[in-house]
Amino acid sequence: MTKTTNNIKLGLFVTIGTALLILALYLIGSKQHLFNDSVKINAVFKNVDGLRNGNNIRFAGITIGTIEKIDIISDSLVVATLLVDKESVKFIRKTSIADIGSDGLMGNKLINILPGEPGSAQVAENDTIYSLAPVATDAMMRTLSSTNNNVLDITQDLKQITKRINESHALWDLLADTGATQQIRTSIRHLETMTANATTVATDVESMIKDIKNGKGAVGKIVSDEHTAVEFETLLKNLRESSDTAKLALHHMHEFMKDLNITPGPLGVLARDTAMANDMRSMIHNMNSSTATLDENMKALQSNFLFRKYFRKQAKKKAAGN
Amino acid sequence: MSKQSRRSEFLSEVGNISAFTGKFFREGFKPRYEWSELFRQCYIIGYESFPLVGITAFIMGLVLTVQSRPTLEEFGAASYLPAMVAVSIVREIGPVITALICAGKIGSSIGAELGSMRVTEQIDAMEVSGTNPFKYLVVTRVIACTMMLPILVVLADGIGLYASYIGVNLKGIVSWNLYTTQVFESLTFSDVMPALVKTYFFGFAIGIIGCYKGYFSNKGTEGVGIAANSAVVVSSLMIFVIDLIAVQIADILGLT
Repeated sequence: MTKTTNNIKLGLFVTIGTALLILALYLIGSKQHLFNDSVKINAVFKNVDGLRNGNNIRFAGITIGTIEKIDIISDSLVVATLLVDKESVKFIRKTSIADIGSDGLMGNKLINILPGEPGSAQVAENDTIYSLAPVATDAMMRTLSSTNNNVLDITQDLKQITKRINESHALWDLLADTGATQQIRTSIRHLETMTANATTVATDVESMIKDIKNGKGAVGKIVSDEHTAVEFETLLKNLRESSDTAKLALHHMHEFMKDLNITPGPLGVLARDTAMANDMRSMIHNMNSSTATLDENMKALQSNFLFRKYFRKQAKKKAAGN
Repeated sequence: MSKQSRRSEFLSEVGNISAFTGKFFREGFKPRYEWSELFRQCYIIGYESFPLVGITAFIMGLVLTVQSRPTLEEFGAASYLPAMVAVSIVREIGPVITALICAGKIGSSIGAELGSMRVTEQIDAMEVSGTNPFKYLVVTRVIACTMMLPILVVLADGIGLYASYIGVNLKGIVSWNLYTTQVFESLTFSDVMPALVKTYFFGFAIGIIGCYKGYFSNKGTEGVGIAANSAVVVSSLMIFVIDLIAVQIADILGLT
């Protein structure tokens, strides 16, 4: 009885152990896509960048296969044979691109298959897809190094700018001044009004120009009517001639005045000699008094019988003329 | 004892063990087969060793995980913990720790049992009674050891990985699903197969050395103690030697 029980226990022990082993092997195999139906496709690279047999193939981030083998075909050509799950191969097209990447920053290398052009055909067994050149880490690091230097310069400049801004009392006063804000706001409002006015003016000018173009209004007529234009031209011509004549007259006048001023002629003397002016003034005074006397004499003459008849005849003639 | 006599003693020991192993292969596959004794030995060696091996594996898995976490966290790679522990347990820790535990438990018990049988002349009595003591005592034990150790190792690996899952979740949250995915993604056949194959050699070494030491123990009670002790010491050493050879072969075959 004990022997049978022991054998049962032993059987259980062995079964569990073996089952566990088989399960583990199955799980490992299924992770490596050993039990799935797969399709072989080739990917051509110039440089596989450390890719190894058994590395994963991903499409849209999902592992869809593994690399079966990698062969060097020529000095610049390496062909990797990819085992892709039959279920997933329908998403890969003839124009799909194989790109070598890595799982995380330090992880294993893998192939990312990028989807091809939507219209192109699906890959078949033993088809070849092309690849992107792998990202050269050295070149990337070199670029990164120069980028870092630039960033350093920029941050240093920024630091200085920030420091200056921080030290500027005027700027902070301006920022803290609520009155200034109000003024700026008012200015902006004025600017707005001004802009609106400018728009109106521009619209008016535009319509005016349109009117002018269409020959409306006085200016329009001038611009559009040929006859008016000729007249206007003649007018301008006459104006120019008049202006020239006036200019000449003024010139002569100027010359005359100059002569008057400079030359010691009778007119100059007349204009400047104060004694003569006094004489003339007394002469005119005498003439005035003489004229009054003459007037009186004339009135006496009218009353004289010799001439009375003549004056009456003149008065009658004047009355008949009115 | 002079150096030369020690050297010759060592060489004669190696020669005797080789001859003993040769005899095992000659006798072992000839009928009549001692099935009943084989199953009994399998039960004792496999089933009865399981609790000890299980506890050891559980503790090893847990401790390894907890100890590895700070170092991995230093590199910001704490998420690699399941993968790293899985590879460590499956490739090395599981087989070697289990083999050492079995060398201690099974090797000593076989050495002591056969030694005491030799001392009490039971083995001689067997020969007289017509039973082949080599077949009955040695072949069954060696085959049982060779067959049971891989199973113990597989179960120990399973327990160790479960303990590691608990260890990972002591200071973090990783679902069982994610844990198993990470573990089986990190493992490959080149991790499992060499480890599994070498456990057969570990089991064979434990069985054959335990049996040899016990079968040829000196007379007297002292001889039993020496047989048990040297069985454990030599089989433990042999485990590491086989491990060294196994890793070299795996490397040559490109399975690392």
